[in-house]
Amino acid sequence: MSPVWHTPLTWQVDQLVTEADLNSQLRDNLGFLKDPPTAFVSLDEERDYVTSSNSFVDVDRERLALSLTTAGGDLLVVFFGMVKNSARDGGGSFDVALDGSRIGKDDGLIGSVIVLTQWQPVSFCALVRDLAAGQHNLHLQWKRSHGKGAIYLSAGADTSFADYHPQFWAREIS
Amino acid sequence: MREIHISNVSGVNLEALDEGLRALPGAPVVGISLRRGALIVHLAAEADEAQAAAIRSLVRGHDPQKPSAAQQARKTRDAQLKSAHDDALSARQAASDGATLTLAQQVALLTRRIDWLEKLLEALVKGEKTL
Repeated sequence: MSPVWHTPLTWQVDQLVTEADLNSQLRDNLGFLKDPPTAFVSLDEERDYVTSSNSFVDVDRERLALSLTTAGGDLLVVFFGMVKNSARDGGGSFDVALDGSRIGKDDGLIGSVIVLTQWQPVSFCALVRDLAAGQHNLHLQWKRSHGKGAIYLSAGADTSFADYHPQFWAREIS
Repeated sequence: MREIHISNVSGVNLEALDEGLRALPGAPVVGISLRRGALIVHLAAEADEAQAAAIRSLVRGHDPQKPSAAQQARKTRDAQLKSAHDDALSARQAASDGATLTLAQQVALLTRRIDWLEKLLEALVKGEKTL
């Protein structure tokens, strides 16, 4: 069972501390801090992904998707992976759709120009502030930039010299 | 945005298919993706059923062996570079073998070698070749 967060009590003088208080305030809250809501995806032995889309689209709505229930607060969202574009001076942009809305807006959280069509790393750590408590869904999104070529994401697919394993995860941190 | 999903696709020439789809009348195509063996065509929200049908038809008839215009241009460029390189090598051999070449003949051989270098430099600057 996932740890549950309880709003800390303000203790009063001569207050009777009950078993329920200790279990909720110490056991449950320490358990929550040790194991906060987290969703994690790492790809292995999939096919590499590719898109020529000029607008943000899901990389993989089923596999590169996170779902977690938060207690309310800040959420850290992390992605790293190896990408390339088939066109010189092409590139790619990345963003995350949180409950259907991109958190980066505009051209996304991060973009990369890939000068020589070689695999190169892309990563970001994004902080979502003051996220309401409840269940949330996140999807990694991408598009090609400069309207050139197609962008590839290595997915641990045994691709020669590019058998890289991207990670996409989110954790409530406050 | 709308999407058309086509499962179990193999042998896609992504560049050529993308080029063909964007050339369709009205071109509601935003791009295409490959996900775990499925082809996804991303369409503008206003794409209508006739356009979607034209897209499905084009995908069904897609020949991955047929190059895009850019791929064909790269192929032609590669062939021209190879031919110029072969000619430059042959000119170098002729220059080293010909002890009795006239000045004009030597210049002609040198010109052939410079011609290859010019083509190579142009391709490097355009990014069609890398070192």
